[in-house]
Amino acid sequence: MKTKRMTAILFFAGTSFLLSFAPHPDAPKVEIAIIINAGNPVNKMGADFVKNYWLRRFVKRWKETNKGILPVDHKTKSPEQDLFYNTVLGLPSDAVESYLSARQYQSGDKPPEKLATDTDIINYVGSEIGAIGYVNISSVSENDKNVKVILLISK
Amino acid sequence: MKSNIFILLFSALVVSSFAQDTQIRGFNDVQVGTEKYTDSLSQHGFALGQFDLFVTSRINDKTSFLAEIVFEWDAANNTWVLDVERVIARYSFTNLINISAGKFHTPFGYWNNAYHHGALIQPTIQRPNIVRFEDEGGFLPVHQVGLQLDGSIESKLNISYNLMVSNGQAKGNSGGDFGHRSSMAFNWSVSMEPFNGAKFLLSGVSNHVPANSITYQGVRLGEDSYYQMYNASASYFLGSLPIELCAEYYSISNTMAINGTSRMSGLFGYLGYNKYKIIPYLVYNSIQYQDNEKYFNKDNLDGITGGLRYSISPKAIVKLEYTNEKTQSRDSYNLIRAQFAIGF
Repeated sequence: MKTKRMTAILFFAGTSFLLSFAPHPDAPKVEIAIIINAGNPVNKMGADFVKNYWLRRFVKRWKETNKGILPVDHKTKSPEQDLFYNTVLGLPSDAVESYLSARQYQSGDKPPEKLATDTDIINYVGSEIGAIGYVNISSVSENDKNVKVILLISK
Repeated sequence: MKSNIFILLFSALVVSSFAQDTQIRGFNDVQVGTEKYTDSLSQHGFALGQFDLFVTSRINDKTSFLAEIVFEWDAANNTWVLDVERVIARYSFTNLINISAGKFHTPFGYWNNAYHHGALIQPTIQRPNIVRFEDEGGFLPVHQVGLQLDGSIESKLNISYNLMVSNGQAKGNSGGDFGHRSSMAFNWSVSMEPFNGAKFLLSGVSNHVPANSITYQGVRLGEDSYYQMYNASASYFLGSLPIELCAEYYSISNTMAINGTSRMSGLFGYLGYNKYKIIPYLVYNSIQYQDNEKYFNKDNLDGITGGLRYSISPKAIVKLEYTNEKTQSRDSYNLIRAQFAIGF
C-alpha cells in the first residue's frame, strides 16, 4: 500500500516537473513590424537588409532618397526588443550596445535614438524621412498615415 | 596654453550641444601590473590610462563633426599632456562619396581604425607592436592631418574604399601650422566584407620624407627617404562563430639615394574565443628588420600575449594579460597586468 502511494506521489511530482518546461498555453505571441517613413519609396525589405540598414554596417544613406539612415530603438528591454535583436540582428543585447558604441567611436555614427513607447517610435519614424524602427504589430493602425510596414517578424 | 584652448573648445561644445544633435562620451582605464626585463629589477604599481573625451555631432543630414581629445601621461617629461587626436568635419554626398577634412586615424589596416584610444573597445590591453602610437616610437603614421575621400558599395562583397592626402610623417606634422618640411603623404585602403563578421583589407602609405626629418623613433634622417608601406588584414568579429580573429601583415620599405633600400616587416595575429562571458585570447607579435636598416632603430622582436576579458556590462570591462617579448637589445621582457576600462 505504502509502495503504491509513494509511486503515485513520485509519478505526480515527475509529471508536474516535466510539464513545467512545456510552453505556457497563455504565453503571448510577440509580433513586430519593421516600419519606415511613408515618404520612403522602399516597400519591402528582407531581414538581412533591415539588419544592415539599422546597424548602418555598409550603408549610411538610403539609396532611394539619399537621406541619412536614422535607426530608432526601444529605451527599455521588452519582448519586442528581444525579438528584434535575436531574430533580425542575430546578436544579444550586450553585443548590440557594444557594437553601436564602437561604431560611434570609429566613424562618428550616432547610436539609435531610444524612445519609451511604440507611439513615440511611430511619431518619430513618421516625422523623419530616413528613420527605421520596430514596434509591436498591434501598435500600428491604418490611421498611421506617416509610416509604413516593410517587414513582419513573429516568434 | 593648450589647456586654455581645450577649455574654450570644450565650453563651446557644451553650449552648442544644446542647439545641435551633439553627444559627449568618454573612456578611461586604470591598470595594475608588474614588469621585468631579464637584466633589471622588476617594477610594479598602478597606472592611469588615457582619459579620452569624444564628441560627435550631427549638424544636418549630410554634415557631421567628430573630435577626440586625450589627456595622457607623458613619461619622458613626467607630466600630463593634452593631445588632440582627431578633429573631423565630414560631408556626405552619397554612400559612395564622402569627403572629410581634419585630423584622422590614418585609414590603414583593421586594428588602427577599429581600436584606438578607447581601452573599453579594444579586445586587449596592449596594442599590437606594429601599430603602436607615434609618441611611443611607432612605425606608422597612425594619425594624419589632411583630406579624405571614402565610400562604400552595397553588394555581395560590400566593398569600401578610402583615399587620403595628408601632411606626411615627420614629427610635428599633425599640428596646426604649415611649417613642416615633409612632403605630402598618400594613404589608401580597399576592403570587402563578403559574409557576416568578416573583413578583408588592403592598404598602403607612400611618403617622401626629406633629409633632417626626425622619425617617430627619434632618428634624424641624413638624406631624403621614400617611405612605402603595404598592409594586408583579415578580421572576423561578431559573426555567427564564437571566435574573434584579426591578422595583419605590414611591409615597410625606405629608399635612400646613398643608403639604398631597407625593408622591415611587422605582423600580429589575435585570436579570441567568445562563447562564454570570460573570453580567453592570444596575440602573437613579430617585427623583423633587414641588416641595413637606416630609418628605424633596428631591434627585432617576437612576443606573445595571453589574456582573459570579462565584460561586466557593455560600459565596463576587466582584462587580465601576460606578455612575454624577446628583443635583440634587451633579451626577455615580462609583463603581467590587469585593466579596468570604462566608457560613459
